[in-house]
Amino acid sequence: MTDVPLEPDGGWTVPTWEQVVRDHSPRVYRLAYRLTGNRYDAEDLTQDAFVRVFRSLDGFQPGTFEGWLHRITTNLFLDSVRRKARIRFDALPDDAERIAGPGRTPEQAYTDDRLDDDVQAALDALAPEFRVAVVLCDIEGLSYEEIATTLGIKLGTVRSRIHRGRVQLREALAHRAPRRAGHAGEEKP
Amino acid sequence: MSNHGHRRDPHLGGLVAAVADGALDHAARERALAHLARCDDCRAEVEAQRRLKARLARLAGPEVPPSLADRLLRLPGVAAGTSATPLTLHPAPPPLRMVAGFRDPRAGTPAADTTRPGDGNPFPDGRERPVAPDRTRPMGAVDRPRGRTVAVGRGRGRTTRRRRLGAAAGGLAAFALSIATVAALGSVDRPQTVVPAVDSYTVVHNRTAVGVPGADPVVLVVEPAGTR
Repeated sequence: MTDVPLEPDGGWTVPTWEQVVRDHSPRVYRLAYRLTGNRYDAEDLTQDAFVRVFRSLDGFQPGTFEGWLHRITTNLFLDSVRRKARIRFDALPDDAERIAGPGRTPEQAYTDDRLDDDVQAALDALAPEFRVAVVLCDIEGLSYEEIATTLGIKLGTVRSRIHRGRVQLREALAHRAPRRAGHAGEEKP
Repeated sequence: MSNHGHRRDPHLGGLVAAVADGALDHAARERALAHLARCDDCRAEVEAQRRLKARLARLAGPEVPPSLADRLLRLPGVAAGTSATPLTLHPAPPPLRMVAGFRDPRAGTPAADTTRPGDGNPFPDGRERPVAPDRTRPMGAVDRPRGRTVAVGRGRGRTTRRRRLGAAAGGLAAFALSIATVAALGSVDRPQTVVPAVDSYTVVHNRTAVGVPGADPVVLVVEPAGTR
C-alpha cells in the first residue's frame, strides 16, 4: 500500500502526476488485466481509470486512494461489460499475445503462462459480477467488507458471489486442464 | 454430500468461501469449525477453495507495458513537463477561500486600483464569464442595472466600480470555470486558471494588510477579511 503523503497539519499534499502513475499503475493494470483477461482491454481500462483519477484528484479524500482506485476500475469494468452486453459487441480476440515478465527463463515463462492462462481463462468464463468479487478478494486481497464497499453491495452478496465464483472456477479448471491438475493444485474429486 | 447434512448439522454450503477466507463472525465460525470436525466433504471443499485462493494469489502480475505508462503520463490535460513539478492540480481549499475573500465587500475596495479584469486573463482563448458577475456582485453594488451582462474586458474606460466588480467576478469565474472544466471535461489542464487571480490578490492584500502573509501565492491560505 502506498501511503498518502501527509502534511504536518494532517492535510494532504497533492502528489505529482508522475507519482500517482508510478505508484498506482501496476496495481490498477493488474486488476484490469485480471478482470478483462487480455492486454488490450486492460490497457484501455487502466487508461480510463487514470483519466477519472486525474479529473477528480483534487476532490480526493486522504486515506482512500487504494479503495478509490479499486472502485473506479471495477465500476468502469462492469459498466463496459454491461454496455457490450447491450450492444452485442463482438469482443476482441481473447487470447491476445502476452508479455512474459522479466526474470523468468523461457521454460518457466512457458509453464507459468500456461498455468496462468488456464486460471485466466477460467476467470474469463465467470460472470463479470462473480469475477470481480473473486479477483478483488483473492488477487487484490480485499476483505469482504472492503469488497462490499467497493461494489456497493451487501456483505451477504459478497459472500455468495465469491463462493459461487470459486465453485465455478474450480469446475472450469478441473475441466480445462485435468492433466495439469497436479501443477494446478486442483484435483478432481 | 454425506449424511451429516441433516437439519441439526447442516453442511456449510454457501459459507464455505467465508470459512476459507476467515470472514465469519465468532459464533458462526465456531459452528462452522464444529461441523468441519465431523464432515469430510465440507473440509475438502474448504481446502479446495483455499488452494484455489492461493493459486489466484500466485498469478504473476503483468507488468505495465511501457507504452501504457507513457500514455498515462501524457494523458490529455496533463501539462507537458508536469512530471517533475509539484503538480498542476490544486487542492480544492485554496480557491474556495479566495472566493470567499473576493466576495467580501471590504476586500473589493482595494481592487479598484489593481488589474483590469482582462489582465492575466487565465482564459487565453477568450472565453467569457457570462454568469459570474451577477453572483459575485458586492453588497454595495446593487444599484447596477439588472439584466445586463458585464462584458468583461470591454470595460476599459468604465467606472472604478465596474472594474472592482470585474476583478471580483474574475476571481469567482476563474474558480467556477475551473470547476466546470473538471466536471465537464475532466481535464484540469489549466492550473494557471487559479494562480493569476491569486497573484493579483496577493498584491492587493499586501497593500491593505501591510504585507503580512503570502509572499508565495501558492502557499497563501488566509482568510483575507479576517486578517486585517
